[in-house]
Amino acid sequence: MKAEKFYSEGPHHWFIVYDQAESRVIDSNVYALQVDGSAVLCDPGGFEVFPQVFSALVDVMPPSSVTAAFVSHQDPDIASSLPLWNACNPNIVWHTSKLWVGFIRHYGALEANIQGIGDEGGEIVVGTSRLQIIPAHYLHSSANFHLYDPTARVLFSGDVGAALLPTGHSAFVDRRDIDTPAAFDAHIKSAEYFHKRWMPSNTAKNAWCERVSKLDIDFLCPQHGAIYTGKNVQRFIDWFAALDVGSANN
Amino acid sequence: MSHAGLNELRASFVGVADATFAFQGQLQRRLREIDRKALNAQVLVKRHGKILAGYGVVAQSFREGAQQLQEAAADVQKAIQPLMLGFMETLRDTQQIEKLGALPVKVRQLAPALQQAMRRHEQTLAVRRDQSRRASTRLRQALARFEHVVAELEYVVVNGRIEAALKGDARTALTQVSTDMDNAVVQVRDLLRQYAEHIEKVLP
Repeated sequence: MKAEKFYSEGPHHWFIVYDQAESRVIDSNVYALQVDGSAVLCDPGGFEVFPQVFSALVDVMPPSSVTAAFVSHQDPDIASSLPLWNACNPNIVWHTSKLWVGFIRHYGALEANIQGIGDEGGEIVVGTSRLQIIPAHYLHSSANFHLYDPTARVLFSGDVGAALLPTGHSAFVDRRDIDTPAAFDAHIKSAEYFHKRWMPSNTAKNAWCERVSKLDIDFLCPQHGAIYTGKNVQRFIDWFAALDVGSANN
Repeated sequence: MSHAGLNELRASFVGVADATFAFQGQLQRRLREIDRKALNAQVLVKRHGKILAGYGVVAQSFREGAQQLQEAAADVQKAIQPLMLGFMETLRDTQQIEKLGALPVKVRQLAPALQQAMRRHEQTLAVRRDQSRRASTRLRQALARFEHVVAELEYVVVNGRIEAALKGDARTALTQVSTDMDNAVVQVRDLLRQYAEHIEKVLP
């Protein structure tokens, strides 16, 4: 896996760890925000890919700077590395929905410091930055959150925006000619089945589209696939708003 | 390695990873500095024409030495990556074994597949141990090569000082260039030694 910095302003840095080599488990991105020397991991990843994630992170930040982890929902590709991160650093504070606290402890590390988030969301403080925990329930998990950084205008969107891309993929949806939708249109084909099948509720989807349309977003960062930047962010929200989801029942 | 040994190592993993991150960042900065100083020396020689032709050879050697340092550093960095990966794979596999090992003996006796699974994990761990040993050897070799290039550059720096002392009017400027270069090379050497000492404690 590779680590790449995609936002940097003073002591405020965002990184993506992406392009997983292990193909037997779903390809996942891990994001890290470092502010004033402290870092939060967004969806720290699965047990099997932990070694690759960790060794890629070492290229861009000291691992001891990780003080917190945000877990958007309970899936194993997101949180099953919990016991390994906890073995490396038992001081990491984990943030996830209070509905999932007792579930993700099943991955191991009964003693891990896991803070439950109420359904209404909340805040995570990293260094001098305050991040907003945005409710995204039923997208796809029944208790689901996204994380918004108003300083960098980054929305970590968990499984929303996910695309199933082949090995060797870029960290970004092609943005060389961002004024035209051609690259977005090509990319979104890899996202369509995922959203139709994994996302269960049109009501939840529409509420999310309305909520995030009010945010200033320069980077929409999904846990699978590639980052949407600039005009591709609004293109994605519009596309998602128009999509009929919950396809297994159709 | 025993599980107790691994537990001790687990506590060191993050320390080693932090040291690796710091080493990589500082090394890049210092190497850029050495390259810039070597370039300064060449510019100084060009500015003074034939009178500094002798120092020109030294300046050229600085530049070539800086290039060789970059290559040697790239080899070190290439050797670090698999080692970090190996540490973390060991951590993951040990976790699997410990989970199964914590089951009561009676349970394991009633489910022979669990014993087989443990044996498989132990075998995987043994393979990882070999991989880590090979990765350690590669890193030690890369660090030794790097140290050798540093030593050669130190030799060039000494020659530069001697040459600078013989150059009449330009002596002050050349001595300054040689001293700057000397300091930069010493910093890289110290950085390298510190890192080698740190990582040697955990290398298999």
